[in-house]
Amino acid sequence: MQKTTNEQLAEKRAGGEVTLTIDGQEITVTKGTTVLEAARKLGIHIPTFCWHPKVKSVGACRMCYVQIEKMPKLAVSCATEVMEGMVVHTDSDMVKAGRKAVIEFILANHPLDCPTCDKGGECDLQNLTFAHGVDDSRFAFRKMRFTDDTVTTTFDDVKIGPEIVLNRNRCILCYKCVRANKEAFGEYDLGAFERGNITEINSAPGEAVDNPYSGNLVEICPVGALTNSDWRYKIRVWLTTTTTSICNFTSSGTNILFWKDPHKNHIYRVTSRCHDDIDDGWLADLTRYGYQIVTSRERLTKPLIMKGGKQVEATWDEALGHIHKRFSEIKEKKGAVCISGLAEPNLDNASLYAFQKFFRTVLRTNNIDFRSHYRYLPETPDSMFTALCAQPFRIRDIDDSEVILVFGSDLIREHHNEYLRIRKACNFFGARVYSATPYAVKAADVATLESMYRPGTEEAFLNGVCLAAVEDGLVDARVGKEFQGKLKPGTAAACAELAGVGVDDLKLLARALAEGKKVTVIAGEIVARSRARETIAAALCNLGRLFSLPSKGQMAVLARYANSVGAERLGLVSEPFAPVKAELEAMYEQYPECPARTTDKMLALMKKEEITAMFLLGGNPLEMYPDREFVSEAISKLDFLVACDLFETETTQRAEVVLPLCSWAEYAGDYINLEGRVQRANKAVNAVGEARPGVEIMTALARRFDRPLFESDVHMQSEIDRLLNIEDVRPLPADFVEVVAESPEIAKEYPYPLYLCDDPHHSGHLSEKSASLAAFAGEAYIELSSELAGRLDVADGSSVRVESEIGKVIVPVKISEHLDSEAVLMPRNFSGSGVNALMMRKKRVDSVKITKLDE
Amino acid sequence: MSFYSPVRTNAAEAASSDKLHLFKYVEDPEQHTVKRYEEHGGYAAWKKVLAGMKPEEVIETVKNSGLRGRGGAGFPTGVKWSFVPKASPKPRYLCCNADESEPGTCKDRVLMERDPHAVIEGMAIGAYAIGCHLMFIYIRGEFGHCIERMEQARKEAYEAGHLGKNIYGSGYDLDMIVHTGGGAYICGEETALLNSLEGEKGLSRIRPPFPAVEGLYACPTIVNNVESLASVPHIINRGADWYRKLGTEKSTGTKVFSLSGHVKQPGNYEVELGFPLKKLIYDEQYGGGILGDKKLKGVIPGGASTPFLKPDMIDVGLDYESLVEQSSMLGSGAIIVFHEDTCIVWVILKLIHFFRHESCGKCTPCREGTGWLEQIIRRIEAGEGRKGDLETIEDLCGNILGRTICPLGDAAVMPIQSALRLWREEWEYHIENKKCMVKSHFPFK
Repeated sequence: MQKTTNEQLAEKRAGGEVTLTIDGQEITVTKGTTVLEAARKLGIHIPTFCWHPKVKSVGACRMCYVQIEKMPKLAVSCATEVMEGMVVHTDSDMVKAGRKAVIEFILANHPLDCPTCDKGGECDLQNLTFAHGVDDSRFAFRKMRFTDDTVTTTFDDVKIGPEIVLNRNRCILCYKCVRANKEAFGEYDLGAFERGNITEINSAPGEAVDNPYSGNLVEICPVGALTNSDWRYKIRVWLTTTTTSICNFTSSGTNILFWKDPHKNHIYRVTSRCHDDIDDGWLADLTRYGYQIVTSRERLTKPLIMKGGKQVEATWDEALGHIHKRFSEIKEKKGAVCISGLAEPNLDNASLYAFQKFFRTVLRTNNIDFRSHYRYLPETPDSMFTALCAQPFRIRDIDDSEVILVFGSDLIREHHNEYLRIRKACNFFGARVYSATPYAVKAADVATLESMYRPGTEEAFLNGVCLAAVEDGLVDARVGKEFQGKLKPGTAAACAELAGVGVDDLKLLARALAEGKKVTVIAGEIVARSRARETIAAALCNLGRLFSLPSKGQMAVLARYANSVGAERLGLVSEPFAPVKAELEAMYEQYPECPARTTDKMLALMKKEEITAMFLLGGNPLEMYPDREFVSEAISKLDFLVACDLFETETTQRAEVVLPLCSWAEYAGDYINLEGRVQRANKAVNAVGEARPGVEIMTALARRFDRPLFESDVHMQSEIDRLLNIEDVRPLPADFVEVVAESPEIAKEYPYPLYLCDDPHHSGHLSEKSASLAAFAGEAYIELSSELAGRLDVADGSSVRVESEIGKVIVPVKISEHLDSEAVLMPRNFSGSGVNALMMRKKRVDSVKITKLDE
Repeated sequence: MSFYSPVRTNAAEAASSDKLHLFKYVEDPEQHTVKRYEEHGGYAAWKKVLAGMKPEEVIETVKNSGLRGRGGAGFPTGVKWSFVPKASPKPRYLCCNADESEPGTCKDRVLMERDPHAVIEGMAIGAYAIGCHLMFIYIRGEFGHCIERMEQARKEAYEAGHLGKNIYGSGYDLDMIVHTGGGAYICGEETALLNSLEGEKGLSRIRPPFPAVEGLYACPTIVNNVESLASVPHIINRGADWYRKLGTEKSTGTKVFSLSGHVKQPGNYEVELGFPLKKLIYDEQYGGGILGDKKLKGVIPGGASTPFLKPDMIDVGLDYESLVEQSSMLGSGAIIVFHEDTCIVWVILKLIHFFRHESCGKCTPCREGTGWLEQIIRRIEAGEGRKGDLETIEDLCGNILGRTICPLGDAAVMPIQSALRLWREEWEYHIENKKCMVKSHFPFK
């Protein structure tokens, strides 16, 4: 049973205990709990329409009436706090009459759409009418209907967003959608208009309901007023069954349910499963609609082998045999050191581990990695950046934090779930949020302070905060002195100047971090993708050390993708973390001795033809890795390329062998979220065509080499468990680290800093294959501030040429609601857009120039 | 645009009276200027308060005076001020409720148009009493002239040093904002008013938490009516004892009653509480009797939401207690009189239409119930009433009364229940004979 946010708040306030009696049963709860929540604890479910465990109660529907002794009127239990000695009756005659009246009122104008309404079978109104309502209606008038220019019949169905269909007639005005939209997501694209009984919930004038969480509004609607296009008219809910699973597009490990028809092997929708410590029941649209890639008709169904310049269908036997033959050849001629492998970090533990084991024990090479979306990774496994990525972090602890610093992270594009959690901490529990990013981000709408530092000056900002703390005497003076000498520049004011922020911002943040009793620091993609990630990590470590963060909170660079944590812990890097490496050495007869190379190094060696073969288990480096030309050249020089994926991509088109990969819904697997929590995603549907899960591909391939990977599934699991049981404690530096802040110059010719990011509705290269997600955003664009658009004289939707030092693309303009500086954003999730051609691997800050197309 | 309301008042009587004080200068065409206001002794109370009274003293004085909220609820003003938690670190806010929309009520309008500084002075004293440094006046959007006058008065008050920083050198800062509503009766309800002031939709909030603890921006807020606040300077100047001697024991002071309907001399009349209703309607100096010298049929004593009084019930003093004894309420003091040629069903139709139109739509019973009731009553009034309609109406009223977030639901059904109780034969006649029982001609024959 979900814990409500109000109960969380009551626990925090710890105001004492209250004992009351409900329907003759006594219960003791924390002060501040509502009567409804107390009844829930007793297993008494008071009917409601407008109550939601995670949104503030408003007492609007009046369905949750209870009779409380000594109170003359019925009380709304969702909003009445318990008091000592209260005696509550949830089912007295007066309460029954009250509920009947409410149902009668709601049904008065409610259309009898049940036969054609998607909500039938899971409709709160249907259920509560049967349980508490009247058989007959006294209402003898024509039911009120909404009509306007677009709607001329009584069947009012208006598409108010790419996914959401609104039927105003069915709305019972519980206001859950607008309340959740505003409180939980911070969005205002849905509102209530007019008043009284002609109130209508509708999209804001001139806007569509297309925020990154819009799908939740449909799930939260108790009736069929808001429905999803992807579920519409497809199946009745009672003909479906559910399978529990985990989201495969984000790193939070959001708990989901697949709804499927057991006879048709088809998934119809995804809904939440509510895990109080992870997702609170909210799903990002990415999570909700991403499943459509599973059922897409574009899925690869058969292996392909390149014959005479064309990719021809083949059998698994042929394909695996071919791979075995080619790998053996290359290994014999040049050695295993020329073979490399990249796995996509959204695969399950078994697939990733099998991949790792295949390369280490069968091919005998260390050229493996999973981070094919980054540039220039640190070579050493004990780098500060890697350590920061592995710091303990609990999503639940965000709720308890007084101070939350979001550094270098555009949450709405990277960590949808954590953004909602931070909003909740701010709205309900009074947390103060501080945001520091190089461009204006939406997530800063809950921030007490939003700082925007100059692109590429992350360390200067962090150093500045530390120096401000030392200068203002907020930390131990001795510690401060020892520390000051290690930072350049050495004063808060100088750092502020370098970073382009006011020194007061730094002082404010320093004070907050020093005085906050529980602090959460989150660093994100902007840090992770930066060439200088190690320096920034050093600055973050210094910050953590100075403010004693590990002891009074949590600080981490949040992992991304469904199972990066798993990949890291299962040794899927060229040089694994020492305890992991030791365990692998213990498990394998001969741990390969060849040098370890990260992705970037591997690609560089491919260019030099020192690595001649690559096996890709998922992934599309040609379109996702920065500097397209570099990757393209590297791949074209390869002698042998195998690509496994769900869909055809530019990378698979260049592969000699293409193998169809299973999606995460087609087999059971374990995934580790950014907290290090292992969760199981179950099999929902059978594999499409001849697609196979990664683990099966690797084990089948290993058998070809006469070196089977595992004796049994149990054996495999035991090896995985051995690795996962290693305590993943990555020590942060024992002392303060010297950090010299850079001041990157942006070329005058290419004046606009460019950040390659994910569209809020997309992640990686697979999500665009979901029709619903593509409806939200289907092609690449350049997002810029309205001010910049004005200066360049470009309109929303018009095409522009975007050029960097090494590449150019043509994309349409999207005028941003949040950006307000010269920084521009481009999403990299859309095939064929080639936006990674603009990125330079070795530059600290990418920048571009923009010209109108007709010039 | 904005027009000046040429309503009749008993200002002449007030000018020479020792007891009446709200309307003393209300016919003076310059009274709205700060200069004339000061000449008439204005801002002396504010100066007195800042010169040496502690906030607790101010609250005690107003408590002892027995002043009750003049907006309709009649809650003791001093007691309301004392609800603001002393220990709260949050800023406090005072909001003057000038969203006068109760049908029949037009008294606040006169005070704002003609004596705006009295309102400002009262607000200032109230703000000081609760420790507020930013006060608001929420004026109904349709009151163009009031808004102009209040904004002008505010500007003058700042210029003359009655508002702003370090007023009179006392060290107290006080700022004032004039806020305009968008045209909603519901925004006269304090929680909906606060929502509207915050920029949200004017929907009511559930209470608890009460505004005095969590109001505007979740900070302690006091919402008072225009007339209540305009009374405060007089209480400070002349003392709580003086005020307590006016009116009755439990309903102290004076009140402005808006008399309208089928009377010869409709207008705003300031009288002591406890003043006989009959006198107010018939006396030469006030209502002057029924229009056309017809027989009285019924009176709404305190605004559209109060139960009716029949002619045999109007021998009552206009104070809070006496009207409760007659199963009605003093409310906002809007007295609507109608004579024998008025169809009660028609009156109720007008009222329920108003409440349905103004319902905020948040809670189910009021939103759906008022709409349903209006439809039934409209049908009856049009001559299409059916057997069982009255039972349905009574049942629906019972499902709305006491079941809503704010009193608008109660306000909507109480007149209906009262009309059914007092004139049931008329309703039954209307249904059976499909026409009015009375020879009613709308509106002024």
